[in-house]
Amino acid sequence: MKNCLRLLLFDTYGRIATAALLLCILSGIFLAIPYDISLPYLSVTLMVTANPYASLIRNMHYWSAQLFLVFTLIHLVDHLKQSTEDNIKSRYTWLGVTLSLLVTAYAMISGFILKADPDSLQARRILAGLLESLPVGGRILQQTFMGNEKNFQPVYIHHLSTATLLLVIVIYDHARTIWGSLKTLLITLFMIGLLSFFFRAPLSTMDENILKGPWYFVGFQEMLHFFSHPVYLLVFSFLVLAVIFLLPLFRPSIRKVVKYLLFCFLFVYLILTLVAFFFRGENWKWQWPWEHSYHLKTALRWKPLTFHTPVKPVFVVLGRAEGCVACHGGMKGLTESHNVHQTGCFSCHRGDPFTLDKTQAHRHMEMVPGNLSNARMTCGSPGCHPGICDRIPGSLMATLTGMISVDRFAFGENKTPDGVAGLANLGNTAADRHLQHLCVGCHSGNEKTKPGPTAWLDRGGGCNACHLGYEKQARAEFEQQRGKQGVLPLYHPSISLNITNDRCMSCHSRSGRIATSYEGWHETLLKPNEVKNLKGFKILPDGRVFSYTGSDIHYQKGMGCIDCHGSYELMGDGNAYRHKEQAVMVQCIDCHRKDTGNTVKLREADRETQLIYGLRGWKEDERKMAVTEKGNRPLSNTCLAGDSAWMMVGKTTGKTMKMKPPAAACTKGKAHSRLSCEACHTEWVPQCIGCHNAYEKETLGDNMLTGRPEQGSWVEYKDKFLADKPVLGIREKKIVTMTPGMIMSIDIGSFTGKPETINRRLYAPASGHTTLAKGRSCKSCHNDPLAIGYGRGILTYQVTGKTGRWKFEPRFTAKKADSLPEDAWIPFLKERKDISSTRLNIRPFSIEEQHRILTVGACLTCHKENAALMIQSQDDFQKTLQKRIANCVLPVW
Amino acid sequence: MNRQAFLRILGVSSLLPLSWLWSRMILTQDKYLTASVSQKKFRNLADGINLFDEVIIVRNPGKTMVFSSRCTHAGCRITRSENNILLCPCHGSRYDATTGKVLKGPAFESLHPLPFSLDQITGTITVKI
Repeated sequence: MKNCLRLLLFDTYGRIATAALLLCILSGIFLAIPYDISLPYLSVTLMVTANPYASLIRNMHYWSAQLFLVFTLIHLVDHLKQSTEDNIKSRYTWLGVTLSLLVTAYAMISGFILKADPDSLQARRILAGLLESLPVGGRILQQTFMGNEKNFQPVYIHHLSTATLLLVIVIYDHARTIWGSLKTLLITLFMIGLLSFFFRAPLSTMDENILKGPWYFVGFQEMLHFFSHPVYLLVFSFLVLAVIFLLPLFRPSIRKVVKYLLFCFLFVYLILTLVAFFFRGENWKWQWPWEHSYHLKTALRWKPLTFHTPVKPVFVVLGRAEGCVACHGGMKGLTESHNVHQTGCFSCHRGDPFTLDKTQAHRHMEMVPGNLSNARMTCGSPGCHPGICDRIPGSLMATLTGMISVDRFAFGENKTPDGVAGLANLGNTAADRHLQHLCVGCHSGNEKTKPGPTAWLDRGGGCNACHLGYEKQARAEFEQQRGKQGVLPLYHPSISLNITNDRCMSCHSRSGRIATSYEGWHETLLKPNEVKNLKGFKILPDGRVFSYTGSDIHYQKGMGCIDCHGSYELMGDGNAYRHKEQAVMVQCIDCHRKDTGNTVKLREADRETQLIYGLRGWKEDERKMAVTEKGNRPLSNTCLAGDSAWMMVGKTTGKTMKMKPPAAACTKGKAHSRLSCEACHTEWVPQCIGCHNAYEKETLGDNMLTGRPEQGSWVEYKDKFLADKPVLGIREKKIVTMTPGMIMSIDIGSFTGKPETINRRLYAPASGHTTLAKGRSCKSCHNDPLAIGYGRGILTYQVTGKTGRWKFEPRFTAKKADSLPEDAWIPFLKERKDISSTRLNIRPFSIEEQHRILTVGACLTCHKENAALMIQSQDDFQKTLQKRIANCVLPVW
Repeated sequence: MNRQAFLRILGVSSLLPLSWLWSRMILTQDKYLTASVSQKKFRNLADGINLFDEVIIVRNPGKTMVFSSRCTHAGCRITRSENNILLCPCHGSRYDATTGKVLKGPAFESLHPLPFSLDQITGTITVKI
């Protein structure tokens, strides 16, 4: 065994360390030629990317330094173990040896700093801060050995001269030689050569989220994570050095204990190093090594150097040389902001930017950047859109908080529909399984798994959901190259702000169905073959049949979804909202103004608005843009032309549209001051009733969260899809539009095994997106049982003598569970005491309000809507009532 | 005293004036540098957290705060935020973005607020660094 070891160990540890140092100095001399102190990071990336010879020298410099450090430590431990410290007679020599540990540490870390990548810059800041925090002479040491943040000169000088010189002196002083044997030098050179050929010295990019020091200091980084006062750690390190220096003065018995403690410390440090290296992720959070970590995957790059790479032009992108652009520099199709020569490839697609070798460059590449799982490393990396990326995970389209809370409430698992929830904590309860089988496929975090044009049924995809567009050429090329390997793509899909309505359609054609309603389509229960070749019907790619019912005026005028809904609504504004109406900022009154209202000039607007404005290629001017009353967000596509003429430019069409102020009727009198705009102007909303949900153990369903098929699934049976004017209800003080959101029965017993059924009658706020310029008639509210909440049927005012009474004959039969007609929200002329809406702040009309509405309704049975009397009554209804003649019969209740 | 001892004493004692020179040089240079405090102007910032090299500007309706981006723990630059929390990438300290107070250690000191002036008309924020 010993013979084997002797064979392996060709010389003493100290001599190997010395040989490594000599090779390190030698490679350092050559490395200084391509290294540029004024552009350190760029010069290093250039070497690594395009100059394999310089890269080899850099690798040799790195690996010889690592070997020097490792063998120096082993040398020290070995000698302490053998108690040979007594062999050094001079105290000065021993002092030099002790201090050389400090110098070695400085030489190593200064080398790490000189590559000037983000890890280096943060290490430099920490070291400078640590030195400065020393109680005596801290500032002087910091200025001497670190210098000012942007000046690499002191570090460079001390690295290559001071530290090197001191190390050579110390080695000569205690070993009396520096040359050792030629054999040792050659074997060490061979080892270093091998390592340098196969493993690249570390170099990180400016887009990294995980910051780690060099491997020998990550143990310190881990310790610092637990120390509130880093200076104690520094003082502790000095104490360790002092103990080593004083070691020869101790009695042998004490010396043994001290050495034991030192070895223990070294062992603990080793463990901490392993923990820090393998178990720490972004923001120093604990993570298991097998959890997704780009950093760990790429920490040690197995990358044999290639010297036969054809010479290609090397492009500098974002302050670094990027090998990818050498091949992909001709890529067309990207907008200016994401042009290859502006942002390179690596910022989005990762991989290895510092190579011209195809295989190596494509290793660990993100084929589909922009998914929320990788957005922090791609679109949201520190140099690109970190702010937006931080907002999106908390936005409603990513959390689905409202949807989850309401569903859990419907299933009786939440006490209110206003809870806080997230996709991450969906469990195995009946409601959560229901969500997984039927609802949660639509969220922005849903992964886009393959590159290529987004199919209609693809939902989510993070940033891609809206911003990725396959234009004609890119689409054609993708189809042509599908399945082929080794073909250089020439057309990239665009990453742009050109977000057309179809991006919203796949998700928003469901539930509230705002996207389809906006374009005038109402879902039916018809089958595709029933409407084949029939006009007025549309079959969606998922097989659902829609009938044309009438589109929104804004759609007719050419407006798209994004003309109203801006970046802070769609990507979140940093606030955690529970329901969509809280997250949506824009209101009708923001555009349809009577006066100039709240405005802002472009140069006064926030950065995001300015960027969007600029990226759309709009000319900067001094005109004012409208600002939303709620949330105070500028509407970048609006402008005040003249004194009070508000204009809008279609974001995708470029079409200019005039925004009309509200009609006189809208603001006339006090009678309708509580009406929201949509209460009158919503032409129809989709209304589904009689829905039944059951869990079927034998049915094969899809878990929308995992994307995997599952045995046993919740199934939804639909009864009727109706398109009618919305029901009205009260949100806080406003009259708003409502729709039967959850009139359904849930066979909960099919899931739990106990015979039990939940019946729900919950109305939900409706954002119809079927606005028309003409508002609804007076009778459509005051004489319509559906509008008041009684459901469809015949509402008649019966007068017998001097007594008038309202009668209601429902169209639908009463449900057994609550004796209310299938589509009703409230019983006729009664109130409900339970939670009747999917929001806590929304309620149906109270008895008193129903009486008031129907009293006007009684008048309307005789008087015409546009009669002068009825118009006059809007100013003061009570006054008008007092003037009534004897023939007028008011209802009794 | 022999010649060797004399030279040793002379050598060691010469360290004192050298150290004095060394420290005076750096402290004088410091004074010179701090005399020229730089001002940086930031315009058209988005609401919420804006991270820059040296400063973090947090704009909330009616309130703007400017902090040094230097983590008070070990001096790292804070480069990320999440749900109105500022995160230090090096050792995991977390700060409340609105107040700069520490939410989770190892740091124990709040982020250092920097003096600034806000031009209400143009929205320009001038920070002394």
